[in-house]
Amino acid sequence: MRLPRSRWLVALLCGVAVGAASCQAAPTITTQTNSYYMARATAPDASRLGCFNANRSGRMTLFFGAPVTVRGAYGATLWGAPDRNTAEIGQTVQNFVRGYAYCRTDSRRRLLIGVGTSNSAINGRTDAWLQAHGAAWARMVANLNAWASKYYPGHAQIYAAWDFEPSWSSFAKADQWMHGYDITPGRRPLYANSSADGCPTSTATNGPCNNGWTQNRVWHLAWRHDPSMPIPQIYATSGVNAHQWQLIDLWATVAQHDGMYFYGTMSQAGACKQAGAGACPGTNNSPTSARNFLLWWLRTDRRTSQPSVDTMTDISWNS
Amino acid sequence: MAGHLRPRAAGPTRAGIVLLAVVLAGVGAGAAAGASFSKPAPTPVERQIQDEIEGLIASGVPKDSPKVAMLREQLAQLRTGDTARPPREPGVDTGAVLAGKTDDAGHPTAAAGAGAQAKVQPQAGAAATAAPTTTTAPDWQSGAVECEVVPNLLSAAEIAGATCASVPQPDGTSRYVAIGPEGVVRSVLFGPNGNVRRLPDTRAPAPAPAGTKVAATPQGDLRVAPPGRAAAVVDLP
Repeated sequence: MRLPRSRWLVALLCGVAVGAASCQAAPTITTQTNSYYMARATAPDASRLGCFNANRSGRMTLFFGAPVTVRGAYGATLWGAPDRNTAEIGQTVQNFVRGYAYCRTDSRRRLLIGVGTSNSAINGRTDAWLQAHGAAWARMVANLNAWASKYYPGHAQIYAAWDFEPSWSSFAKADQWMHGYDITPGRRPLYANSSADGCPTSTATNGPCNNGWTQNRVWHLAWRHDPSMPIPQIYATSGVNAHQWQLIDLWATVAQHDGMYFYGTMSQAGACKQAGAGACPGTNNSPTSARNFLLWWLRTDRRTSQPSVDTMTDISWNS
Repeated sequence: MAGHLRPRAAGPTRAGIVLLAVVLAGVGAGAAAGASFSKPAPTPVERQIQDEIEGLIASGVPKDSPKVAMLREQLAQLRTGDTARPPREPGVDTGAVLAGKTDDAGHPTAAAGAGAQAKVQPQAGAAATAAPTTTTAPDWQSGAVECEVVPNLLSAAEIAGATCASVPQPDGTSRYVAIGPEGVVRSVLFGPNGNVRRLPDTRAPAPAPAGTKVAATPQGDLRVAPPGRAAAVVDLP
């Protein structure tokens, strides 16, 4: 499966060349959206952010931080801002939707909003706590979608989102959270906005990733669970992240007979720009480059090829 | 349909056939028009989901897979929403919220006045054209907080064994601070409008092992008290 050096070069050029015809990266439908790390979440902040995105349509994510207990309830951190419990996070999302609805001028636009947390800082949690948090997140998202369906059915749908990264926790702990999410009745689809850090870059043999994870374990969380919709982080300007995911897909296709389908890509050019020069060297793909890299690598093998990658979302800080 | 018609005594005339054709064409056009009113053309997002469904199946996912069914449900929900007449959300004044005249729960603040209770309709042409202006209300959490990764700015290795704090600043920004057990102070600035960046590392006067107590000072610095040692104030960048 090792590819010649020239193929890497072509992949790199493909990612850089926006819409290059030779990359065959011309999906029939592509949407570009903004996603956010929600480091501020007051009602005015969230409403203005929704208003700011009034000209957008498609899949995007509002990311909150690590799962925590907040005043006796399940919730998430917001990095520099006060932690919020699921009820408060729900208010933030509602205000985002209201701002979007208030400002949107094209009635044909819809946002499919992922509400996300992560596997950061969870190694110290018990399995029961993680399952309960996953279940609480599932209920929050389902309730938010029911609310949006009632009051804003022509504006937005609500999904869950999850940024799991091998370096951030053990697989066993991450799996407990996902188990709690997945077994909850009425759970919504979940964007897997995940990384494959440390995973193999040349083999598809269930090789190791960081922190004791494997290709199988990444696949299990990003695809095997029914709600999972992979929209992975394709940050590296070398294209290596896209290759890692293609190899995970290939391994799953061959060994599990259950290959992945990628709904989109997440890039972080906006966050990198905010953080200043040199903040993320070599990991600041543009949204188009991220999409092109993934589509190109998927198409290097007929067993992983897919016709399009429809969503390009770029994350930045809402602070 | 012919079985429900009374048999005609004689064959149809040419004029009759033309008249029937005109009537049928009219009925057909009317039905088509009615259908288009009740079923608007798919929106771009709906076409995207349909594209995803076809992509899944083309990639080998069985048509009866839960993943396909899940997308079909989302698509159906969106299609229903296209023609829905949703009730107005009670007690919501998005215009007031956008103007910062409500509290975090959406209730009018004292300064908002009685007008903040008025309901508003989505307003054409109100879309923002510039980055949103965030508020600088003093609602920042102060003191010890959960240590966690700040993407691209504070890594998992840097927070390992650290004691973390959130420290509000007099200028309305905040510092997310991780003091490593060896005493290295790593800070991330959180300011309005996406101003998030790593600041230069500094060093605490002493190591900060597990059990170190931290507290923000009113001046925006950090009081650090390692176990068994006197507290010291660390000047934050």
